[in-house]
Amino acid sequence: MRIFGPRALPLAGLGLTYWLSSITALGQPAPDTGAEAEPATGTAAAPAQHPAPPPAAQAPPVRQPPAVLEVTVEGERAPPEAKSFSREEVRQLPGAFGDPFRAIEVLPGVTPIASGVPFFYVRGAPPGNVGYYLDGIRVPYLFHIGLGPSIVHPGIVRQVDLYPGGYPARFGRYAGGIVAGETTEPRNDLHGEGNLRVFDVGAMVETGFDEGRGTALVGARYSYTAAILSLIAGDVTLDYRDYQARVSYDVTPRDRISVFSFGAYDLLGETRNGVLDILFGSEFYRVDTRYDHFFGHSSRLRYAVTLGWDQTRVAQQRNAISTMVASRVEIVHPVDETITVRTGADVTLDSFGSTELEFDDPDDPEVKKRNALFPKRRDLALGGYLEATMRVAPEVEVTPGVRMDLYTSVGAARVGVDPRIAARFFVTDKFRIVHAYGITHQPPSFVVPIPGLKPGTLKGGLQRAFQTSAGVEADLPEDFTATATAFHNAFFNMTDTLSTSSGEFDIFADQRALGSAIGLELMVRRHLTKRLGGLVSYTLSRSMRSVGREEFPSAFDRTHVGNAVVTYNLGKKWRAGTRAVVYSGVPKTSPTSGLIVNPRPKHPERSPAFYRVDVRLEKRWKVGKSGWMAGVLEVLNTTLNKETFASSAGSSEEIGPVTIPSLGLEGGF
Amino acid sequence: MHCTRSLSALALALATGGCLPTDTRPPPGTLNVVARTEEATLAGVVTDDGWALSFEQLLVSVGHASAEGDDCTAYNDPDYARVLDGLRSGAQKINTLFVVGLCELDIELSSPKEDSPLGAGTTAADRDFLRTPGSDTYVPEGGVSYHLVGTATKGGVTKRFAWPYRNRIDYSTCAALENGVPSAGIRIREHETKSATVTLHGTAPFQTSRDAKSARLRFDAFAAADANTDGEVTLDELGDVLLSDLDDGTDYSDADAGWVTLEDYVYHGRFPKVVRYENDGVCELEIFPNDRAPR
Repeated sequence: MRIFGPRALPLAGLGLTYWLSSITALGQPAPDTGAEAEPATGTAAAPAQHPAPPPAAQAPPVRQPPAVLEVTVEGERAPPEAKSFSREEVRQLPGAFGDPFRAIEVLPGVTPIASGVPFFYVRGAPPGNVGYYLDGIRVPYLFHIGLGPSIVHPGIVRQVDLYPGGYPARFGRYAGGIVAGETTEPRNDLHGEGNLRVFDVGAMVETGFDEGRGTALVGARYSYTAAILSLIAGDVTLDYRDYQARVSYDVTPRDRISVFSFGAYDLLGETRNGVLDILFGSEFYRVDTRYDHFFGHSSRLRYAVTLGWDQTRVAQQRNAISTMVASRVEIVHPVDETITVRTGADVTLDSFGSTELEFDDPDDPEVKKRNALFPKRRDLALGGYLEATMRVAPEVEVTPGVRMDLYTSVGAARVGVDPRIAARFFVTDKFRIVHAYGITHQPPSFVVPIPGLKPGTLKGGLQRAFQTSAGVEADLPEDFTATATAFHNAFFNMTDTLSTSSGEFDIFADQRALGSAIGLELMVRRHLTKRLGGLVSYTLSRSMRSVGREEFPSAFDRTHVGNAVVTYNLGKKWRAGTRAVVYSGVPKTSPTSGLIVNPRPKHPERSPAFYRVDVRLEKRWKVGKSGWMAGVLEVLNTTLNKETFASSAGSSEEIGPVTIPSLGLEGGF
Repeated sequence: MHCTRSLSALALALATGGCLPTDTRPPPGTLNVVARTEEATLAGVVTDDGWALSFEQLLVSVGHASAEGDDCTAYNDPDYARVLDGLRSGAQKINTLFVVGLCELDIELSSPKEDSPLGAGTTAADRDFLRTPGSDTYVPEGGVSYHLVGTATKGGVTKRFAWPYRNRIDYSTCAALENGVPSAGIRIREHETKSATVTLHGTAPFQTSRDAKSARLRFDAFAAADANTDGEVTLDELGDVLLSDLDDGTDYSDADAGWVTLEDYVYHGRFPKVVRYENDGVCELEIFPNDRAPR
């Protein structure tokens, strides 16, 4: 079977191209790993092997369906700071509901805001400073209604990478982490998969045309919660849906043209007096048109133009609307067996409409702040990067890089110069030392990413982060891998409203802060598709903020965050898994109201710790030659635990229990 | 409205304004919520027991007006209080609401925030004063919702008072009286402009009854409470006066069971009457210390 490694496309990831030798795989389509399946690939999730084989000639894009049992998989070594999940692993992860993007919260360095809420701090960086990409396309958010399933069908997501810091120069304009999803390679055999759950239904199908030169994929998800809710609570509307469509065509054996479009729509509202009052309404659409040229010898050029349209209901039926026109060029060129150069440039023009409301009290401070934060404007971001991965010695791989970005907005212009360097030292064939350092810049960010809403306060300067980390990777017996990473991030001029509000939380505040985060990340992992798979991750960290003379912990600083996952093949195509999540409490909030409050303490009392247990049970059946079906029962927070957020004044607020049960059928061919 | 989930979605979105529902509401009317101060507070008044009351300061923080009701559609919800000089005559803006339908008004008396707007004649120092935490018998640490300062003079004797009120009051479902009966609310039609008036009554603490209509004004008990005879009548001094010992012509029979001192009576029974809706309108009151977040 031919399996595309997670790094099959040089442009999709950064690192030396290499060969994973003779991976044995079952004669099943990739999604149908089966309960007995061993990991299909080494995947980027696994630390790279030593020594890296020389880069091989990059084959033209491969379209053949999986056919053989044992193949050689072509790919690239993961960048030193990448933490990844393949689709096959995500499928087995309890509490992720099969969504690749939801799975990253189990990784070390990720601190949840609250249980079940897929917005998180990454090494101290707030949710607004975490960039989301799909195939290199910036997307405003990843989850329906902010909490629900991801906005792309899991079947088209091959892999999700989390770059908690010190990431490749290809990524920029975010002063926190990067979450990058990559879609599956185009396939010209007819295949597809779908799922039917209590609250939504989704499907994707792909096939080839013109004797395999072209491929076409469509996918969609539709939630019928609106129909269900109309029976239970007729005045409440909850609706979400998304689509994905991709067409690719090989004009010549070395030239491919592709169009990839996706979008999502969310609506949560309540009807009062016959009028729908929208509590949350948002939608976005993207069309990415690409031209890929394969030079041979792994060299490749991609040129792409992206159009985007975002809209979010602000209030009073007023929508914040933005349009995006972006263009990017990416080039990967292996100079020789020891050096691979990657370079690229891109320009993005975002046009933001006015968010001013027709019917508002002009004296309302919130109105004034909101209008000042989101003025009607055009933002330009223009940048380029250059990076090289060099094998300077058989045991040393170094990746220096730099990117430069120019930003303009509301008459202000700022430049960010972001040098990066990462290195991997192969101490033995099973033990490596990894270092990553980098500076990143980002324009002001909102509390969480929301379509059409981006602060226009560039005149206050760019946010800046200095990210450092050092760690070790070890390949242990029985296919276990272990990593330990120490990190220290420093943030300057950051717009972390979640953490810096004094007294009442004010999402429209434009207060800048200094910040720092220091911590230790540990992870021991065995591929979740093994007969007995598992993962233990732990993060010990301290995230501080400083405003004026005040120095205090970030509002969502959690000293300890731990995850433990066990999956086991019960036999006869039954597979079970469980996951425990435990984390310590956040600092207690200061007294609220309009009082002049005392300076926040450096070591405040904390809310109670929280834990929950998720479970997943799956039964699979083989259908026909290559088809499969599965029944899946999954529950997030089976223990029905509530999370408590307390204030130093003695009051506390319990949230939950946020328990999400899911019963569904999945199938594919 | 459903969008086609296809490659044409982007073009469709650009052409039609997306898939989110459009606004089907009728255009609203405007409800100006304003404050007016009673004449007795502005010009001074002589109490029934012969004290000439005059006021030096009535600094009030009031706002967060909202329109409620099953038949009321509100377009905005001003989430701010305004600091007002209660000794200015005429109407002073509190909030502006855009509503349509039959609406009941909610209003809040509370300590201001850092960015609360300043009414005419007030300063940032006034706002800071109202935001500064302090304590009294009933509120261990809270800001000030209003500050009432004045003097009472009789026969060459002058007594001064300066009383901060540290509770927050939610006045909800307020209705003006029409022929002695609470109205159903304010009906606002499309494009119509109306006003709702919050009235300020500095004389409320000196009324002899909780029923404003039948109440008279008296000051003898307050003057007598100045135990140290420094000319300043403090809340603590009122706390030393037992209602059962008073013989000032007021029977205090409308005091709640738990009110033992004159301070109890004034703080809980009178102070909430300083801010009213349409003079004698009725509201449901919920009272909290000012250390809680406004709704």
